[in-house]
Amino acid sequence: MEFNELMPAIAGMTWQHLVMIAVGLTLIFLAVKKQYEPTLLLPMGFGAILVNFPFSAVLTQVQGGETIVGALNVLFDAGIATELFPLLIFIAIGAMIDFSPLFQRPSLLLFGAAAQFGIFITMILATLFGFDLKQAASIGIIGAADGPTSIIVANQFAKDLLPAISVAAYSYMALVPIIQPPVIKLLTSKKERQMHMKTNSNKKVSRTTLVLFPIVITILAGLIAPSSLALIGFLMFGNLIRECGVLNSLSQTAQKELANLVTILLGITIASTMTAERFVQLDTLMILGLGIFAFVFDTAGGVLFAKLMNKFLKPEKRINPMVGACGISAFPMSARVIHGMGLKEDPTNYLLMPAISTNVGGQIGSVIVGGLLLMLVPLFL
Amino acid sequence: MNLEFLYKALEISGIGIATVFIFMAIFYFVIVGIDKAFPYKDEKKK
Repeated sequence: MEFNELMPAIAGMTWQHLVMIAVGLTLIFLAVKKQYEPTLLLPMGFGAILVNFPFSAVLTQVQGGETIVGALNVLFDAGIATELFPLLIFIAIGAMIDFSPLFQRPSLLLFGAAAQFGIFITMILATLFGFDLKQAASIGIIGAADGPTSIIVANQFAKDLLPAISVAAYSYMALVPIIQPPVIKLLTSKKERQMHMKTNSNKKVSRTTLVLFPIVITILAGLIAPSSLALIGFLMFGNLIRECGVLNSLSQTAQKELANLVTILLGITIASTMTAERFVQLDTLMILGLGIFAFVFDTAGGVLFAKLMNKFLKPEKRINPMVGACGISAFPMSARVIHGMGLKEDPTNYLLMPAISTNVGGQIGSVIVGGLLLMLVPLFL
Repeated sequence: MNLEFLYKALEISGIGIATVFIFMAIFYFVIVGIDKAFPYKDEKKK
């Protein structure tokens, strides 16, 4: 009996497999030691190790003419190819979001649009690097800082790039405290960063309003952009469960058990695509680079839009430009980062409430952009 | 580099940015409208 028959995994191991195992270990390190999005990076890291042994039983193998289906392939076909897992996550996220901060100053919702700027700039840049339109849109959506939306867009437009896009989206979400501050500091003066904002934090919102909000938004989204309805609809469904007041048990289940269960499956299932053959490519490095670019320009878009708005607002209504950077979907991390930066510049400057309002707007904005790309790109092909 | 993709990406970006702002503006009016129609104090009176 020959060595490669006795030890097929060792005989079949290539340097690319070893690189991927190292990537898996790095993700686990980031999750455990640095606590960067551990709920996703840990399953993804472990999954990356699982799938990078030649003839790994977690992936479908053909042995002696017989096809043996791998568990991770089954999960991928059931949960990612059908988009079920990301949509279930949206129900959980919807159940976790409190939209009432938006009612305190609704104009901050506009930053949820301005801070999506990086998505489109990155899409343009990606075409310059040789990616086709669908691939470019999938890479741009990394800037949404919204993992499930990134997965849905990439799954429909560029399945081959899904592993790199998912890793970039979730890793950079965790790196918001590192990526955003230098960009903000570059674009703002100390005086601007010290700007105080008047908030209406005592404003209370009626239950009827909070119940009607997800219903009206879903109807409007369905009328204007039906292709975004899966994304927005599931998000708003989760929120309706939370706000209706008669489904507290379901709301708690969505926020905890559903979120936890699907997150475990989502992370390890995405890892099923992180095989050496698909991941160790120049494209992956380019996608990771373009992903950072998208985050930087999202932040810049929000900050610059705030500065533009301030030109037209009365002094007492002006917005601290740092708050504009919260228009991304990384909730509540981005709001916390901006609040921390505000306190650092001036210990009496509390930006948490406007930052949270803007961040909630960013969550809506990222989902809308995802839906828009799904609608627009096919029209241009 | 494919110029055709670049031009299409520019078009999509223009339409996309404009549309997302329109969406948010509509949502702004929805929020203001619902909040005015069903204010908190009315609920308290009931």
